Amino acid sequence: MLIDEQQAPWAVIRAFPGEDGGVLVHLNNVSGGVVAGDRLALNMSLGEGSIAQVTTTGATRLYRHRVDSQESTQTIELNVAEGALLEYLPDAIIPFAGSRHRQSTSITLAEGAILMWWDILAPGRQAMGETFAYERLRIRTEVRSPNRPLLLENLVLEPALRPLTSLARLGGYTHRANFYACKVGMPSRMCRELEGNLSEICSEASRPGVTIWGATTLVADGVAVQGLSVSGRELPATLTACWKLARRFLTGTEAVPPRKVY
Amino acid sequence: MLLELLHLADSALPVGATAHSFGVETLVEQENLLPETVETFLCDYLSEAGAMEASFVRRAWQGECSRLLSDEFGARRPARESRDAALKMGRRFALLVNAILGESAIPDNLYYPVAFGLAAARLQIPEDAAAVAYLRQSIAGLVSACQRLMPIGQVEASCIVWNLRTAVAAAAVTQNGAAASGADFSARAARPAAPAITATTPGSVVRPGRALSPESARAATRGAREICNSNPSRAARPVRALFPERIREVACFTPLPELASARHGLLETRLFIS
Repeated sequence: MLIDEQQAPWAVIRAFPGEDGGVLVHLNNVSGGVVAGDRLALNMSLGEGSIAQVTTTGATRLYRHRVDSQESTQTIELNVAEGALLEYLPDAIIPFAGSRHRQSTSITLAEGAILMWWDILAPGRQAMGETFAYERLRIRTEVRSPNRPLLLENLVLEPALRPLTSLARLGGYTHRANFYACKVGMPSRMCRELEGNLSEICSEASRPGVTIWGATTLVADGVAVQGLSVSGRELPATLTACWKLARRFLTGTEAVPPRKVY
Repeated sequence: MLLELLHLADSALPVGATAHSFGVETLVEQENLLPETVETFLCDYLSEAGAMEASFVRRAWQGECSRLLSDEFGARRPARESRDAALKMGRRFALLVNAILGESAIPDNLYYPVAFGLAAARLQIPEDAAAVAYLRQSIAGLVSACQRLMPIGQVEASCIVWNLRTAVAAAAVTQNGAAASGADFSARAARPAAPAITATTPGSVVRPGRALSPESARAATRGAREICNSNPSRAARPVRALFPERIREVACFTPLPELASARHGLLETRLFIS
């Protein structure tokens, strides 16, 4: 692993050799969280045939912004070369009351590249009574293959203006999780097979009213698993189960969980 | 123009709309969508998914490359069943319009809002009217689905559609934060230029809310076809340069309906395909 440049508060200490011949990388926010005006940027490229697992050392805490302060931003650009495998498994985003944040994630996959990625969005510090008390959260996501966009998301969450408790948004659920498993060039038949396998996990994990999961084939080259829950505790186990199954399905090798407890 | 619009936006148009609930069936079965909450649900749905779909109607009307636009729409609808439904409806709509016009005006593999916007431009229907009409017939279709899933009478259903007219009009023009968020998926991707449009209508750019002249409408349709038949690798200029007033991508956050669509196949009995 080569580090061209890094600057606090985001830091990568070193790469740990993985059991699969790749590397395990911890992203570490040394300030403990994101404060108003922060401009965080991560630019990472995987070379041909390389394997990397990238995770965080803890949740991304978006601290309260003062009324007159600028919103914080986090820009992530990931490039995965031919035949490379990227597992991007960050911890949850927790937007504190009064926070305003913009997150942009752009992932470019080359032919034969594999991506396994999850994200978790919490409603805030529930124990502090801060459910959906953040001011604004903008999330923009794009995953592209050489041929077409595979996933495009543009979310603007402003709980005070547009209630997230609407059935058209989160309904009675508070936490949202996504898992994506993509391999550029994967035939649609394989996508549907993977969707079917992941759907079984989703079905077993679902308890409507508490947590629900579903798997669906993306427009090409991959499958998305979506989950909603009333608690963050429900999410990691199902995400991990989906990741393990997808890894075995797409690579024929076993997933190696990062050195942390979920 | 009015007759053409009424015909295209008739919720009874045989494009297969009655076979799809876009996740509503699962919401009724598992997430407590009730007759008394349908109107509120659809109002919020319009402000998210409705606004997003209307933006695709407008962008197609404005002459963006329909194939790339359709690719983009597909990537913004992660739930397969709903995405496939929009594609099937787009195909049937294209077949219908092409049969009516007696020409291959609409490519046959476009998602419904893209095909609708393209047809509206071809028929010289103003952009604003096209966006409103598209949403109105979409919402009428969802209310019809609700009628078949819940105890909602015809008068009540008609009242719901009527009461949602303000939300429909708002969603048709709302950018719901997209401009402020600066989201612009197409800006980063190299896109083919629109040679036919610039070649046949020199110096003119389609303005939102205006009707095209018959010649421009035909040129826009022809241009869209030619662009889509061209090789994307020959990309020249970004589309923004040709369409300075193009609508930027609208935000959309509907995780529960999307998940409901993804889980639709798990229902023991199903009335709808999606």
